Amino acid sequence: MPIIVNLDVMMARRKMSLTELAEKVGLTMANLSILKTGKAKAIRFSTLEAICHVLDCKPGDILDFEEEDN
Amino acid sequence: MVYYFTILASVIFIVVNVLRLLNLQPSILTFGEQSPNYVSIPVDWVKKGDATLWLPTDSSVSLNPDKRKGELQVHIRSTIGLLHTFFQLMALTGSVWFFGLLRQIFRHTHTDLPFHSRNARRISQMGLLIIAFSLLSGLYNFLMWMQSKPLIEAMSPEFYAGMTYSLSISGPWIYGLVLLTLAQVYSRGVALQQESELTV
Repeated sequence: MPIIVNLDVMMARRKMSLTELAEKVGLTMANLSILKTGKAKAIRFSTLEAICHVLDCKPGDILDFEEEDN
Repeated sequence: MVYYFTILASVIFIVVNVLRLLNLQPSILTFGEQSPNYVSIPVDWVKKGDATLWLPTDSSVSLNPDKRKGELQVHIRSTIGLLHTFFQLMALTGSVWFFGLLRQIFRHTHTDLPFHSRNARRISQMGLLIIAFSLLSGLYNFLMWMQSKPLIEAMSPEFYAGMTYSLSISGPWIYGLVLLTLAQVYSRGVALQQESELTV
């Protein structure tokens, strides 16, 4: 998928575990794991806002785009 | 409950017909006025000649006052008996399959996750079963008419065998089409649910 999720990078910078992030954002571990592993098909703005607020970052710090080579 | 009832009916049917084929059916296991080792074929017949009355003022309206319905008792080992038993077995098998699918659908439907991909396939199979049943009913009626025709005409030269079958809009096949349509809608629901599950 062209959209890359760099959540683990930001989590490492903020020294935050997945469990702690899930609790603060208000998501389940399973949902956050889906996002972290790149399996998510969509993300709500409310979820993105909550993650950015907790990790004190911008959406571009978590999401990246890489064109797929056909 | 209905599922287990159809299974029980199938088992009884198989046991009774195996006994009939082996000429071992006891009188206690006969139904109504049936003779042991015989099966009943529903037939209807009409008198030749003035069988149809036409309205004198409107030739498109007619009445057949002499049409009669009855049951032909034939030995199970005759061609017509074997065909009849075969179609009955297929109908029972179809019923067991149909109610089995319905039971599976109820077991795999939950209020929090109502759409399941297997249920979409099951609904589709149920629709196809109903359509197949309608077509096989027509084939059954045709074959029974073909087989019973010489038997009825042999009983009396003044009668000929009628065949009752109509493919009407209110037939069961329309419900099969409805189920097939519902299966398509349900499949879309499955896709939407999967997308929703992967939306964070």
